[in-house]
Amino acid sequence: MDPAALAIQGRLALRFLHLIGQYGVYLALVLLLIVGALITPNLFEKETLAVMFRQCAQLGIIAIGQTMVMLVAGLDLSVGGVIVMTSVVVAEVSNGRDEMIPLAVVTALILGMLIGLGNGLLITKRKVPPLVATLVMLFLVQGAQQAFTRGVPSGFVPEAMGIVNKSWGFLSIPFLLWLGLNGVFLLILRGTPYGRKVYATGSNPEAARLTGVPVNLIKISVYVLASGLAVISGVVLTGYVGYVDRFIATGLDLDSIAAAVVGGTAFFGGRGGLMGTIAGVLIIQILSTMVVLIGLDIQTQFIIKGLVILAAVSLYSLAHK
Amino acid sequence: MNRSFYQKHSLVLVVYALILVLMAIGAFNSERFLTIRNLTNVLRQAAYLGTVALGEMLVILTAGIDLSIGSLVKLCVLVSAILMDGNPDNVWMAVVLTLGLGLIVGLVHAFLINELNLSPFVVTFASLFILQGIALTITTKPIGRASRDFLLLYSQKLGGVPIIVYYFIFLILLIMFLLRKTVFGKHIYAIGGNYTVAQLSGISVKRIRYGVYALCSVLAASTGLLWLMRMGVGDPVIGKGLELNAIIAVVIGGTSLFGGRGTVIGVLGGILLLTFTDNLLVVLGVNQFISGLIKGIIFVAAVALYKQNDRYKGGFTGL
Amino acid sequence: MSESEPSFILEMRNITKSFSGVHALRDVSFQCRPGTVHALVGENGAGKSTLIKILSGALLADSGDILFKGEHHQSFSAREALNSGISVIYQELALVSQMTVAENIFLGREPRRAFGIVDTKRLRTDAEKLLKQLGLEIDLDTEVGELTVAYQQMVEIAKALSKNADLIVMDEPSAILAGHELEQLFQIIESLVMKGVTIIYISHRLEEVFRIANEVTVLKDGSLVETRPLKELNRAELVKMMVGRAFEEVFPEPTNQPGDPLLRAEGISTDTILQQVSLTLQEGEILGVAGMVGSGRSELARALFGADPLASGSITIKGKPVVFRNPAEAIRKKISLVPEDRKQQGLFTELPIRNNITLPILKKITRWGFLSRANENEIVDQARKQHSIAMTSGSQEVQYLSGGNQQKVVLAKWLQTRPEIIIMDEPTRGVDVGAKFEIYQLMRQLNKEGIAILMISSELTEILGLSDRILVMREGRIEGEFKPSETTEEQVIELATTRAVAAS
Repeated sequence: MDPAALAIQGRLALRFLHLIGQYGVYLALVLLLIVGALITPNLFEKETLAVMFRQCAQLGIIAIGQTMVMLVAGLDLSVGGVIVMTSVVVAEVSNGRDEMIPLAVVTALILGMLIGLGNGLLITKRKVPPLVATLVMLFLVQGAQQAFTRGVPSGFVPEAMGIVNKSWGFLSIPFLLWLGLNGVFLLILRGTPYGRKVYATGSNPEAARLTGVPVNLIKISVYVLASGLAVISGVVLTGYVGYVDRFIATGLDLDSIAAAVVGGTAFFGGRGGLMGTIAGVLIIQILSTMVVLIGLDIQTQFIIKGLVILAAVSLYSLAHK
Repeated sequence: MNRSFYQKHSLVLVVYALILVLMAIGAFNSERFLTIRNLTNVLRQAAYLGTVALGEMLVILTAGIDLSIGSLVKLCVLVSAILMDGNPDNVWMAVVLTLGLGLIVGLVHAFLINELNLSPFVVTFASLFILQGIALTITTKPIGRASRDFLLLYSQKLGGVPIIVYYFIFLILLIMFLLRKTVFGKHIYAIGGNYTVAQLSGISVKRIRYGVYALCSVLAASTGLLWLMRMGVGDPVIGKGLELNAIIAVVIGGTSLFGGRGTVIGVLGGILLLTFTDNLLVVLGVNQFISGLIKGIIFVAAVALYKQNDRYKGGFTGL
Repeated sequence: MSESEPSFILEMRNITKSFSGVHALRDVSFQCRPGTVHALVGENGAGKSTLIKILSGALLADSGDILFKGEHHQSFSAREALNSGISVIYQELALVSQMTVAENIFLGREPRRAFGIVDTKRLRTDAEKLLKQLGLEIDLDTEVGELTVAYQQMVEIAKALSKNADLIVMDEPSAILAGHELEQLFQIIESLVMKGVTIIYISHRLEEVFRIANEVTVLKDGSLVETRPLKELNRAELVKMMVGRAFEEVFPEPTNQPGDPLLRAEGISTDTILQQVSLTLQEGEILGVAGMVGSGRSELARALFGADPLASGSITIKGKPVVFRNPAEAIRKKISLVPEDRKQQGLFTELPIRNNITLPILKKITRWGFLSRANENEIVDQARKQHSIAMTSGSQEVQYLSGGNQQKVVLAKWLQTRPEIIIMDEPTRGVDVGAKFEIYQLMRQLNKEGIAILMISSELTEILGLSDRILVMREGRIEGEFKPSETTEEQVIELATTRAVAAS
């Protein structure tokens, strides 16, 4: 073949790869749905969908925050601790009384955002790598929670919290909340100056600074938002479970990172976004649900998640060469 | 502009000073603290974190990271317990196969990083899930059994010192030797210190990667065996969050997450600090619920106060 | 070795190399005699580094070949270069700062004992021998990062020696040396030469070239000017060889007489090399800043823009003193900085063009808290038309544009902020000829509107053709100030490369 034709082929291949990088995850989602429909048609039954969507919401709300943190080349491992903290605070402050719920939630939000502030300050002012910074904050939060409850959570979760789980068919409040929050944050990230600054900070912090972007402030704000979202997710979870459970958030932190990664958000920042994360969350949850429906050991979901992460990252790596 | 010995090693010196302080507090508050028995117990305890931390250190020195070792330890505890199945004839086979498993996992990690050009963070992150999944699929409840003589190794002592402590010391010396005296060790520092220069100097980065990731995973596998010695059965609860503790020990010990800088003595200090803190809190009879908080405060303080001289410009770490 | 030694140890013949259509080297041939110090001289951008990279195997020439020690090479890989005995010491020293002197010297080639153990004894004795050969006394166990740059360089030379290099290329070795360190370097070079090593010495410090080199090769605009023995030349002639050129380029006419002083800097010093720099920038003028690499020009730009803190000195704008703690404050005071390295500091390569252009003026396209796509598209469209940016759409990622168009995006971005002062650091670097002229015209257009421009450039024709006034910098200080009509390229180079104005 003559070199000109080869060059054109090469360019087409690059464009194709690039498209895969941008839209591949949606394609994967669609393919997965098709496969799901064929292999496990009861995937689309009302009850299954209801459960799955609720789980999507639990994971998805945190994933929003995690995505934003990753967009500025960071990581937040403290979200699990924030969720448990929320549970504890809600139970303590409200002590079973419905009318105290708003106060309880607000208290949890304030505490959560303080935690996020702590993360942000450690990372920007003390230059601690995000992995280490959010990890030690997690220890601190878990330690504080243990000390406070002395192992036995006190207080009760008010009944009214259960409204968080009101559902109609397969739609439920958590699910709608998730969609709503996604909408809000999508709008913020794509359609406001703040969102632009977030992407700029992640894409090239030095250039951002030289263009007048308050890089440190943006980073801190992102961590605060991530913790705030974790509190919201905690509220939803607590309402669903109905009591304080120390292990309520197990695995959600890592899963949120996985969802973002599968959705195309890169660890080094500046690339990716919420649309991809939504698809990532859906893919992960659908796979987990299918695992159960097919009758496989529920623990195989971990293996599948790991493989999906590897596959996704390899494809993205190829796409951006 | 030569920095003095004290300036260069300030963090490590502080860590060891803290350890002495802790020991002093312990000695004051409890006559049981400075006994050989207690101290050797602490050292044995330290070995459980230490073996993993030493492996993690090797990987971090090359500016990499391994997030999967917790899951690997978990898997290895199960595998070794199942293979051994209480039968003393199976001990060697179980040990060899378990270590072999570690070796394979480490090699696969390095392979993916080298050939697919993926970041160590992502590869070991995915591996964390996969290994955990395999382990939990095998069982979610304790399974298998260590043979009696294997179990005995936990409490067996030589000259008053547990065998496990000798193992730990052996590893420390081995890794120190590796890093200071071998070409392999020097190349590890070179890759982490300045990747481009290392490459230009003809160092085979790929080969070194296979080496460190394999070592890290084999050490993790051996930790799984240590846990089997202690628990007697394969309990899938083991290993949760272990890699994170290891990373903290390594970082507190003065190893930079960017690679190229760090010493075994420093990491040992990190390991001992963490272990002594735990031990002290127990000996002092501190409410186990407060102890978590105290540890958390110490960590945050340590990390916040230690101003990294590294050029963390705000990009992603844990490449 | 063959019976008849070739009279040249190195011959590079008809080397041509272009990057994206721009010629870096055009049919350059040059030869080195063995056991000599051969200087390679030329302005920034003359092609010196490209030539050396081809020699060391870091780059492949488009055409031409290399003859080294009598062996012919069509293409030269880095490995081949190393194995043949060529060693290059770059300005960015290739050392691992956390490792010791001895370890660095033998990095990758450590003497071994059994089982992969380093033969520390031999490592040290060999390293010691090398350092002695160079007449150096450095503690073998010092971490290289703790040494002064001068000593780091010497470690690099020792490293090159350890590879039994027959040809060592030194790229601006003296750029960071001073006083007796320089003398030490020269002594080392002389001792190397006595051993039969050939040295290619790249420097813009002409007095050193005359001191240490036997022959000099002058490059200009990618072509060979001449190779001559230094004893046949004097400084003035050498400078003329470097810069003498027919004034081919046409620059837009200067517009108005420059107006009131807009910005005044008094005695600025920073930790980043600047020493007592004072200047005035007037409305509607282009102030050209010339100087060699490392003279502090970019540092001056950053200091004025608030990107680096001032250690001392002051800045006033329109008579009022200002202190910038960060670039955002400078931007608010209507200053813009078009940085030297646009990919690292000026652009967000993975983001779309429109994101890049509107980042500093997001407020302007925001309605009720949200970005107005319509407004943004309008701005982008206007920018495209105004600067003739070749792009497919506003959503195209900036990394896919050509260098010239990328620079236009950067300029468009800054112009959105309606600055009164624009600092441009190498505005036409990596930009094709057509776009260059457009940028020049733009600059004069801006002058007409009263905007003051501080232009840093390594292209003398640009400096002389476009500036209303010229400042020449050297080692963090301003060495001279002229109007273009009062000076010549030679004089500018003189000032940029010498410690005092020499009456040659």
